Amino acid sequence: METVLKVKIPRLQRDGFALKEIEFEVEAGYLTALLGVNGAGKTTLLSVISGLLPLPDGAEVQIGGYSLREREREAKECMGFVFDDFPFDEGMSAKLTGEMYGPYYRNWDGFRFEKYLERFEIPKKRALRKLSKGMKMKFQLAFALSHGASFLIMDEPAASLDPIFREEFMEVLSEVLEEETCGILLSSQLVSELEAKADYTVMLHQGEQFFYDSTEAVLDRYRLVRGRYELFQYMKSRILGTRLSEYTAEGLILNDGDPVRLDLECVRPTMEDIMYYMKQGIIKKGTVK
Amino acid sequence: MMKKTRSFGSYFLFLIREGLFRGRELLGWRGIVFLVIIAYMLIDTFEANTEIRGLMFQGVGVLWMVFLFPPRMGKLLYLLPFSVKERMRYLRTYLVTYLSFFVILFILIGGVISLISGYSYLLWMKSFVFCAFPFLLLYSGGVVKSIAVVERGKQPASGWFFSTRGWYQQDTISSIKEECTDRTEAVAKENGQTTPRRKQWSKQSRIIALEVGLAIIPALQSYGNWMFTGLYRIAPWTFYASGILAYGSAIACLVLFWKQISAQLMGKGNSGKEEYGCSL
Repeated sequence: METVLKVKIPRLQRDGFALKEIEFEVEAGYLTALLGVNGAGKTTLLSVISGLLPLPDGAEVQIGGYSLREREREAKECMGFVFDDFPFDEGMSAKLTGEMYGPYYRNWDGFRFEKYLERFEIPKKRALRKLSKGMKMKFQLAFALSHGASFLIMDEPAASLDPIFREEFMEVLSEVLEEETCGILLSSQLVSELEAKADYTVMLHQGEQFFYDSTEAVLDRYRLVRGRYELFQYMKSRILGTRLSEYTAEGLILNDGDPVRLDLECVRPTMEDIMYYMKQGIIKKGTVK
Repeated sequence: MMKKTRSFGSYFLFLIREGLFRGRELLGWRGIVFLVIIAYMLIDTFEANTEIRGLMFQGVGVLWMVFLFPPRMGKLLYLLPFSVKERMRYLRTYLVTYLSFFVILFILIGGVISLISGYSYLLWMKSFVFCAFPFLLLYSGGVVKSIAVVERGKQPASGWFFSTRGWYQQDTISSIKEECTDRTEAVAKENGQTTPRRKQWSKQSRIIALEVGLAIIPALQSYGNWMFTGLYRIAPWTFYASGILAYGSAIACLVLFWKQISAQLMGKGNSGKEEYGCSL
C-alpha cells in the first residue's frame, strides 16, 4: 500500500507549547484518526503538516512522497484540506472559487469539480457564506477531490454537523477510501464515531505521541471489568486503574486472555475509555504497544 | 479538463478579477464611509475655491480605501500549491495589481472632481502624484502583509480591523523571510555551518528599519492630514488627540516589533526553538 504521508517531528516549540517525538504514517485507502484531549497538540501538528507552520529543524514531512521542506509545491499538490475554520473567501460562490483557486493545481479537473458540486447538492452560484456548515465541509471535500489529492487532511470536519449530515459526510469519505488512492488524516473530538471508522489512531497527549497503532489493536489491548468494587479485591494485581461511580465500579485490565470472574462484566473499552485512563496517568506512554 | 494556467499573465488576470470582485465590499457600512470621504473631498474642493486643498484630504481617503480593500488570501496562501518563490511572486503580482487598481480608480475620481469643480485635471494629477501616491505606495506594504496574515477563526472580511490587528501579528514580509531563513539555516546546519551573529543583526536591522518606517509614516500622515480638515477648525482639541493617537500607535508598534525581533535574537526566533506562522 502506498504511503501518502510520513511525519517525523522530533521537537517543535511554539508559544510555550512543545510537540515531541511525533512519528507516524498514513497509507492510501486508510483513515487515520488524530485524537487527543483539548490542548494535546492536534491543531499544531496539523498546522505543521499542512504547511501553515514552518517545519522545525530536524523534522520531516513527506506528502505523496514529496518532502514538504524540499518540494513544497509538489507536496501541496498531493494534499487536499477540509478545515472546520473555512479557509476560502466566503463572499465568493462555489463555482467562482473553483475557477479561481483550482487552476493553481496541475491536476485540477473543473469538470470533476462541477460533478462533485452537483453530487453534494452545493449551489454553484450562491455565496459560500450562505451555505450551511455541512455544505461548506462538502465544498472543501469537492475541491480537494477535484485536484486528485492523494492525501486529505481534516481538522474537525464534522464537529458542528448534525448526526445525519455527519453520517452522510463519513459515507463520502468511505467511498473515497474505497478507491485506495487516497489516505485521510482526520482530527476530531467525536471519538466514538471515529473509533468505528478509523483504521489507525494517532493519540497525542500533552504534545507527545502517546501511541500510533491500528485502532483495533489498541482497543483489543485492554478490557474493562465492571461490577461490585469488593469483587475487585480478588483480582487486585490485574487491575491497572479504577473508575468508581455511585452504583458500580469499573476497572481497567490488560487483555491477556486470562478469564475474569463470572460475576464481573468484562467488555472491550472504547477509545474514550482509553483516553480517560490515559489522562489519569493509568495508561502510560510506551505501555500501549 | 480545465486549462492549466500558471503564467504571469494569468496571475495578473486572476488578480484583476479578484480585485474587481472585491469591489462588492463597497456595499454596506464600508461603502457609506467611502461615500462620506468622497463627498468630503468634493466639498473641500469647492470650499477651497481656486486651490485644490481637497487633495490634502485625499491621504485620509487613500488610507480608508486601502484598508477597505485589503487583498486577502489568509491560509490559502500556505495551503495552495505554492513554493516559497511562487508565494513571493504571488505577493509581488498582487501588489502590482493592487496599486494599478487604485491608481486607475484615483485617476477616475480626479477626473470626476475636475469635471464638477472645473479645475485643471493636470494640476490635480500633479498633486496626486506628489501627495497621495507616495502614501499609496507605503500602504501597499501593509496590503502585502494583509494578504497572508492569518488569524484563527477570523474570516478576512473587515479590512480596517483585520489590518490593524494584523499589525501586531507576524507580517507577511517577515514570515516569508523567516521561512526562507528557516530553510537556509536548516541547510546550513546540515552542512555544519552556522549563521554569524553579526549577519543576523544586520538582517534584523533591515527588518526593523522597514517596519519602523511603515509604522511612523502612516502616523505622521494622519497627523498631518488632520491639520487640514474642517474638523480641526471646529474642534481644535481633536488635533492633539489625533497626534497623541498617531504617535502612541507608532510607539506601540515599535515596542511590539522590538519585542518580537529581540525574542528571535535571544534564540526563540527562527532558530527552530520557537516558530512563527499561522495556525488552523
